[in-house]
Amino acid sequence: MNYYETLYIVHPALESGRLKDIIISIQSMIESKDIKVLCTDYWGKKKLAYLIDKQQYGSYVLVQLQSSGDNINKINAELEHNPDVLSYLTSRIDESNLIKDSRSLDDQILGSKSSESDKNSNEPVKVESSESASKDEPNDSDGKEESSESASKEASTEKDSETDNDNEELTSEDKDGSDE
Amino acid sequence: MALTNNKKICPFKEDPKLISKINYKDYKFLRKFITEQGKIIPGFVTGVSSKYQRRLTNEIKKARNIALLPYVHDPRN
Repeated sequence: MNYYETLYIVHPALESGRLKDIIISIQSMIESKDIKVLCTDYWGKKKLAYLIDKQQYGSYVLVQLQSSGDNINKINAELEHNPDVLSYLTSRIDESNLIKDSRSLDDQILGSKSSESDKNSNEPVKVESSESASKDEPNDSDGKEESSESASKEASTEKDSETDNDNEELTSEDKDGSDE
Repeated sequence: MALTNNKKICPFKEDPKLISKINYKDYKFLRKFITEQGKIIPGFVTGVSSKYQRRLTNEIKKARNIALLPYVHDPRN
């Protein structure tokens, strides 16, 4: 018997009550395939790095399982045809990576609702970085100078070198494009 | 993190605690090893040894699959 974990994204339109039903129905589906569910971890609603089915957000749920390798493909087939699941990823894990303290599903869903303000405070950080990146693109040279300046203001020499490398890559690509 | 050109020391050999962070679930840590465009930074730039660079690329690709990291930078977001 091996240990596996499945991370899947539930459609963001589902509210807390409906979300719990979906998670429980998927859990019972897994158990019906002779697979033992060790724990369920609800990550909350997160912004996706790219659109999936035209959705910008999704609720991430992590399930850790104990099963033989044959049964895992059956879960993937079920999740593939579930319209509420935007995407999923199953991977094999070591026993040391199992989550030991598991809260009840209600606590996790309600807790993440109450602490949404914290998560929102985290999310703008990502948005800012992407916004600054998007600002870079329209005004070419100015944006890059700003980004390198801001990086130096943050007192991280690492970022400077990164931006330098990016610029080098960009220029080399531009040259390639012009040659072609 | 040894990202400078003159001194390349593998960050994972320097601090073995970081090895456990090479996981697609820790996508905020993996962001250090991709460019703004979303490309994976090669090991000879970051100084990561080939053993851990292989693991990094696998985990970054997993994180991309489940939309935790971008395949390419999307200016609309």
